[in-house]
Amino acid sequence: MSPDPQSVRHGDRFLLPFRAIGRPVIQICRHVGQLTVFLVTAFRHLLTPPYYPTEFAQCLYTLGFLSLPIVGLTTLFAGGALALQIYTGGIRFNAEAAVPAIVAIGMVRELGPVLCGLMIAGRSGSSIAAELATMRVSDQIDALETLSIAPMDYLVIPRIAAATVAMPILVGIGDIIGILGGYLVGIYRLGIGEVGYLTQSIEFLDRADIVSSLVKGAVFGFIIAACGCYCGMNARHGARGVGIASTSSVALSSTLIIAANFVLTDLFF
Amino acid sequence: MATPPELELDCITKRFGSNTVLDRLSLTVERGVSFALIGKSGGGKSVALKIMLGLLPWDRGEVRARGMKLTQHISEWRQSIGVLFQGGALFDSLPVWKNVAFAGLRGRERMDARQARSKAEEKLERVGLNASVAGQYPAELSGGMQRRVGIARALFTQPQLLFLDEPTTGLDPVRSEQITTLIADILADSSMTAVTISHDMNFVPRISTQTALLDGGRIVWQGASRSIHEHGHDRLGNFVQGRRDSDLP
Ligand SMILES: Nc1ncnc2c1ncn2[C@@H]1O[C@H](COP(=O)(O)OP(=O)(O)O)[C@@H](O)[C@H]1O
Ligand SMILES: [Mg+2]
Repeated sequence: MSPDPQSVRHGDRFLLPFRAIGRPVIQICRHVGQLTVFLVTAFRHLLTPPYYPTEFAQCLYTLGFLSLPIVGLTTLFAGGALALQIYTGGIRFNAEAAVPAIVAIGMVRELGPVLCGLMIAGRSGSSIAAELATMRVSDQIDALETLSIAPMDYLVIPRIAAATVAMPILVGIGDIIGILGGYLVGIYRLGIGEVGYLTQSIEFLDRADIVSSLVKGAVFGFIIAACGCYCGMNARHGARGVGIASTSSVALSSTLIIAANFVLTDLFF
Repeated sequence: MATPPELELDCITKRFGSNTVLDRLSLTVERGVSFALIGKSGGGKSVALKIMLGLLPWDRGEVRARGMKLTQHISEWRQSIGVLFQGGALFDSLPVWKNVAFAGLRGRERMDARQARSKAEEKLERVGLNASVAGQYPAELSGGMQRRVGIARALFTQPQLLFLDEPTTGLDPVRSEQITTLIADILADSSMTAVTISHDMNFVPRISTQTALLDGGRIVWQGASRSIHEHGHDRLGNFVQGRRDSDLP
């Protein structure tokens, strides 16, 4: 039980800064601990039946297929902008010829997965959190349990599995569309030769680049759904709790995506 | 050996942070009895219910279901109960019939859709709804109809023990009267044990035989439901007639 701030005696004043630092640190530790327990529980449920293939398919559709437009549009413009920037830089070293290759590598290794990750965190992560949080605060999750259906099996596993499967595919498609965006800008705006562009793009891409892109996609997908489910399942306090769950899931998953991106990039370096 | 009671709460204490909601609450529900738990809003009735259902951990005390510790046979226990949550807690992404048949469709037995639907329609009819609502979504129904669907869902698995959390709260007098009659009917028709939570003093004597008043986190009065209106100036009388406890002589 935490003593309320008013009970702090005069002599304890010098403790206040420690308290101000200590509280959030303890909060963070508690969340990390709870998230770990949540993931371990989810993993145990993943290994044991029952499974709900219909729910999995439905999540695959809403998380994957319905995210295609947003992924396509963002990566198309990002690829175009990337081509312009690299051309601007390249021309200072007389290296305009490298634009196609650098756009492709930059898109596949970095921009594609990170952009898709952040966009999907905003689109699907928040909606997972809001949906589960609404179910939590309106007792629907309790109702599932009393009907002998484990919410982990029925709600969490299908979402995490679907996101982990769908994200690499989305990232792959995003990579291709991003390169296409660079290509369009390259030939129509920068006047780079139409013939050489695509062959150059593809020639310089290694298998490792593509693998790293897809692995990042899968990890980011996992992070997005896991954060969404964690925040949603632990929501409390009515409508306000639903809002908090959805915002904190986006904040948490975006941060983790950026951090994981660094770790994975270093691994594939 | 006498049959053990259906449900026993033994000295249950439950705190949320520094807020002690249940303070050494003890109660016993015998088999076949219709038991009502009354008390003011925010008094911890729903919390007590969630503890009986094994949905909330408690801090101290023990819950026994049919003589055994609840935590040790929670999954068999849940197979034998039906619950109407406060507000219904219907799954709003599913049509009415899938809500009602949920335990059949997604539970252990995995009934096929046609069989499940016909059984769901049968249960809907039992609660006074015709088959045309089966395909609608919960959000399209009135509050009274949602309660009925919730009751139909609770009855789907033929439970031995039925829990009802404030089945008439928030309904207009006509609907409330209809739901009361319906529940009284259902309970009279079967040998189910029932635990009902309410603060509706007209409803309680009509659907239950025993009543307990929860106040300050524990049971302060327990007795026959038909006698609740016969009390004068004690805590029960005050609660029933809407006086404050400071008016106690
Ligand atoms: N999950 C929770 N976290 C913190 N406090 C809670 C929680 N659930 C209920 N409470 C508190 O417990 C008290 C009793 O609530 P409840 O059982 O819903 O009352 P009622 O008797 O009206 O059903 C309230 O003060 C409520 O704020
Ligand atoms: Mg309540």
